Amino acid sequence: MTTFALDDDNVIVIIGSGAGGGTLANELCQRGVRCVVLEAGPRYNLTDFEQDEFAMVGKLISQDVPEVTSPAPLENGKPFVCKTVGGTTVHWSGIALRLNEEEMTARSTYGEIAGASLADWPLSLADLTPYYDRAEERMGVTGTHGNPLLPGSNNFKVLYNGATRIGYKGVSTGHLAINSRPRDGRSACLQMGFCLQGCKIAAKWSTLYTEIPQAEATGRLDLRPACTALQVHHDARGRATGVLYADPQGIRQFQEARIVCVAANAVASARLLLNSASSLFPDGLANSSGQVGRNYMTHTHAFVMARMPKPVHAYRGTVQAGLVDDERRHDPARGFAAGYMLQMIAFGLPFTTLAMMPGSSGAELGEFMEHFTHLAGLAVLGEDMPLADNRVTLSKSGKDRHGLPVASIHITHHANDLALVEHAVGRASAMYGAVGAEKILRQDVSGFTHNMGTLRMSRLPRDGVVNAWGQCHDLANLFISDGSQFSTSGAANPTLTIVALALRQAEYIVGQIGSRTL
Amino acid sequence: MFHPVRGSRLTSRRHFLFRVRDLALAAAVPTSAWALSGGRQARAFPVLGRTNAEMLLRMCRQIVPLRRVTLAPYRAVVRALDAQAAADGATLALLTEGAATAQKQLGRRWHSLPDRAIARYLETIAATPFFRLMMGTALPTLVNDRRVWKAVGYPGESYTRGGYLRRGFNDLDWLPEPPASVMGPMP
Repeated sequence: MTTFALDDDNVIVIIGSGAGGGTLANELCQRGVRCVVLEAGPRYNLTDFEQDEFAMVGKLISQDVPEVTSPAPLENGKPFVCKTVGGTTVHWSGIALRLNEEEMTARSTYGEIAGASLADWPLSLADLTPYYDRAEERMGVTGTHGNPLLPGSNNFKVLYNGATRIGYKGVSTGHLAINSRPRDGRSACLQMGFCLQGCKIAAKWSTLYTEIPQAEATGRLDLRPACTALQVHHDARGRATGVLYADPQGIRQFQEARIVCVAANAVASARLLLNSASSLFPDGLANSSGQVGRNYMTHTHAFVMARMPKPVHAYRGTVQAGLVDDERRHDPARGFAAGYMLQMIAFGLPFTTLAMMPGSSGAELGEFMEHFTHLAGLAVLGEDMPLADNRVTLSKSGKDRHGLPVASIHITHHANDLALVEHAVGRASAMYGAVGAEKILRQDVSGFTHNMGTLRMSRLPRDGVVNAWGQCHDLANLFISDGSQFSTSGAANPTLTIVALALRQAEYIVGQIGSRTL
Repeated sequence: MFHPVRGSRLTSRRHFLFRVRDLALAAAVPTSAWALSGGRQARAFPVLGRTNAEMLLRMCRQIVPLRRVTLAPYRAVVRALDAQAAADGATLALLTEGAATAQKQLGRRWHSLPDRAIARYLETIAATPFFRLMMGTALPTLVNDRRVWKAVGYPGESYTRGGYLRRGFNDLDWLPEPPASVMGPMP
């Protein structure tokens, strides 16, 4: 096990070990750079994963409870992210999709949308494409780079037939970072279900058993689980000097650093910068623009389930291997801007019931549960309009066990999001109707494992927090390495983009170190 | 024509997941207190007592009515309620008052009333804190009960049986098979 000294000011400190932090650490270590990764959660092995939905909530999900000040119950949610080595890549369903050209130029393509703070990304799809290629190769994404698609499950057969009967053409088992054949020393998918509880056979890519052990094998990674970053400190010249953190015993330690990279998931990353306010940065670190915490995006989301006349057994098989992408385009004729995807989904009985029938009781609930084996289902995933006042701030009263203010979250939904969901649920209902559904159930959702945009990228320092490499406009040696950097949400699940950005950022950092700029 | 049953906007998934986080604890209440022999029911519900427990049991069966489920999983819900009442005086008061009110409203012969009478009564109290407490314990407890899983055909974990790759993940035969171009081969 590699250990670096607390006063070693030549290491890079990375906060978080998920898609962003874990990938960045490995890429830097492979290129000869020494890294300390601070991970707030514990390290699990595959044997710790249980195919039990309730049990894994307790093991994986962050119990940090932010304050929520949103006006309406729909927005009154909490982020659902993992606090563990591997971060939310332990829990994710594996969907690995690229953003498209329209989404990366949202402001130019969609035009001015009243009330929304749309922006174009400060980098182009062409800039990102080589890194998407590398990300897909290392993650083994199905349907790319020679990796076969996953086979189709029962739930997929219902999705496919329904979608094609109403005229959709872009239907497949989709692009997932789940092994469709053995590769990278890991097994092929056994269609077990339970992707979201931690894949017990490691067929699904997670930094926990890919990037992190690879980085450790270089001897250049000092991974510190159960260590919670509290503040990033800086010197009088405005350069980050290191990270104050609570060690596993709760004792405060300070790790010096040459460069600090923050990848704690969008709510916690913004909170960390706000909690690092100083006389030089009175409104929060890297916040001269006032943009830290703003434009919090989560994706526009809903579940649609159909009760079919014959058994489906949707719980069997890869949880989300089914995709309809025909509606992922900007077509104002539909009555809203931006696009969405329909993504097959199924849970076990506990989560299916609690997701689809919360608050219901009596005959309708009983009937739903008794038809569990006959359910087919999908999730709508749509682009979320950024709003300047959808934001993370610091609570004025709530404190965590380290005495620091908890995050305070405020979200409302733009009318465009609501129009998008209505359209999507209508199309999904038509799909399932076309294959004989007896009943369609809908549950509106605000996706919130997809947390994006609180520290967004901008070309001009006044419009955002970081530049096109995730480097803070205000502090040259402070980087943001998670979904917080997203200028807009797009309609793609964020992980592949986070990984691609981490690979690109690693290359940039190594170049800056090489030229002694950093 | 299909009309989506509109889920309440009050119950987004964000709510659901937060509820899971809270309610998983409710479902984890230990069940060792239950002695199976009928004569020891008072001891099985030491805090609520036998009569209240029976009333709550009847209500639970109508809050989540599952025809193929025996009494035992519902008894586990009442045991969980009993344990919550033991730990918290306000919960005890809510449950004993709720049971007493129900007995008063339904009459002395509530034992012999048909299920639909209990269900109708529950509809009249659906907005009360008592009902929400019952619901908030009954649903997470029942959806996590292996006997309920068996009754509705959910097998739970699949890892020890090698997943479903050779056990029916794609055995649906009442719709046409999608073409090979949209999905991959068996590994």
